[in-house]
Amino acid sequence: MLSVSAWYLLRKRYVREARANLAVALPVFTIMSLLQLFVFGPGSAVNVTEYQPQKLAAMEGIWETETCAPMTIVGWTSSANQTTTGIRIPCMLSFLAYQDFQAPVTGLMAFSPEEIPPVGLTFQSYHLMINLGVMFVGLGLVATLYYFWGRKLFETRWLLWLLVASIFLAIASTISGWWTAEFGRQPWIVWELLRTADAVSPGLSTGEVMFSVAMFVALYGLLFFLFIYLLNEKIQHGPDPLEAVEVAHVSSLPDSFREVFRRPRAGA
Amino acid sequence: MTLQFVWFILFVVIIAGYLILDGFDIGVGILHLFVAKTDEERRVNLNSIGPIWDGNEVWLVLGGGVLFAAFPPVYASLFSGFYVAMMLVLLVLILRTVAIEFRSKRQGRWRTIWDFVFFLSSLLIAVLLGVAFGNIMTGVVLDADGNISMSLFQLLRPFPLLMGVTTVFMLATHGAIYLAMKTEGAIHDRVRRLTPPLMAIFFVLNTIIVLLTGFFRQPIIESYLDRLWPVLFPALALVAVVVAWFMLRRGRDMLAFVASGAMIALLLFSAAAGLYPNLLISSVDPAYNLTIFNSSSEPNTLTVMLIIALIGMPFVLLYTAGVYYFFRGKVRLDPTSY
Repeated sequence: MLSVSAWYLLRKRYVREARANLAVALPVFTIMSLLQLFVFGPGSAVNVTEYQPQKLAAMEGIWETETCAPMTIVGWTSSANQTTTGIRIPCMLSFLAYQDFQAPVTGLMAFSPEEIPPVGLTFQSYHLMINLGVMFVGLGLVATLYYFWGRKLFETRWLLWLLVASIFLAIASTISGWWTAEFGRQPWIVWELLRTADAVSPGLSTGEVMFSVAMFVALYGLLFFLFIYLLNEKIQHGPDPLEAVEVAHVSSLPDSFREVFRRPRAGA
Repeated sequence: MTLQFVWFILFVVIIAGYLILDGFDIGVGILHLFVAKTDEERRVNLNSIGPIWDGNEVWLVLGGGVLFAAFPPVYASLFSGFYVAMMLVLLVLILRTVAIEFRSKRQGRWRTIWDFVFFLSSLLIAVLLGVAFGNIMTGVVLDADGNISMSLFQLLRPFPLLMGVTTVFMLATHGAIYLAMKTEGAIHDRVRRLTPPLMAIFFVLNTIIVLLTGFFRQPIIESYLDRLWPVLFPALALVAVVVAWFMLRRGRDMLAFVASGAMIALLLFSAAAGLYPNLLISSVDPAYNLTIFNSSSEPNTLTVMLIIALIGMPFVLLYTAGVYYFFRGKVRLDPTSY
């Protein structure tokens, strides 16, 4: 909604509808991203710490068990050297995990090398998700500010362009979050019970698996292309005039639950 | 013992529910290009199943879920062993869904293409379902560890393929009777003309299958001779087919549809009774057969699931019945239709 409304405002089409849309979508976006940063996110951190400590360590590239463990903003972790470098906030991870800046966070070296996830992949996908999430908070707050500051938002083109792009970033952060969860729980497919490598069907050949992967890539690629094409067409077409919508509504949907049962139907 | 039997019955009933419900909307898809010629007729065709096809497909998910939870070794053998076939089933299920949803989004050639996709994917679902049933009836190369070693092409044997073709005609007949019930005008007349030959072809094919099973599938015959009373199932299926035929001739489409649904369920019951207590027959050694006794979950699991099912199933039946009730009668198109 946010992205499409911003697009309409940039193109000066359906301005009335777009403004009304923004008035709903923007607060929802801002509040949800704030909740994610301050409520849902920390909640997940506590959960991961309790149930999957190696995943937590991989997400932040914590190799050696340390007190006052730092949180990385952007960085690089190397499995070969077992080190992590980057811009880091000291003690923040200890606080997120245990609500105590001095609490020790278990490092990856505390686990056997066969029981830790691919650290680089987990680390980078996690940070992509987190940084996008923090960016959404900033975007939401700035946009809200510009909205209340004499509705400046409607004329601020660079901000509207950012809102248009936000839908792609939202999808990217959702998927990178999924990657974090899936990379981070390796090598287990059922946590500490069944290894992914042991879960493969015995009779299955590489060719068969490649066939199914290729099939799904082709199918979803095609569907993605068609979906975007149709979606774009719908966006370009814009909302129907209000009168047309109401006519369709009356002829197709019953006004009350009782009418559903009373509706006369030929041939029934 | 009793629990395993109860879950076997539930599983068979769910698959029967799937074949009856999704069966007719697959049938509508198979007939799509032949009974609906104009764009408006094709919209009527789509909207006849529009509100219900996805609810019907839930029964397949339910069947898979029951197999997974109640008889996990069968689930594992079947889904791993038929891997490529299962992937193809997924492919055509997805394409069919997309065809239904995308067709009405644009005009012209776009619609012609999706009409064809809708037809072809419906046809292939019927063929693949039939082939799968055929293989389960014939038995598969199943070893002592429960692994099936058969490629896709080894699954396409003559008998399963015959089952595939028969399933196409069975579901097309079922779908035709449904369309007769839901449509009027030119499309209705076309459906009515087409139904008797479809039904006749299905009847001949099905008779061939019964005869082939009688001559070649020794275990199934022995299972029937052992207990004898399950002979009621095929006998009643025959009655149902005759009833459907005469109800159709009298223009009692609704009763014909009920009879056709009953026939599908009874045919499945006949097959299940013949297989019992096996779920998957090994052609290597009967000792490797997966039965409802050697491949069920623990009694605890089955009990908990039974409680959940007893709570959940009434809701499924209720909303299913509700949707059919709200959308009863002949199809009417409006601006929000497909």
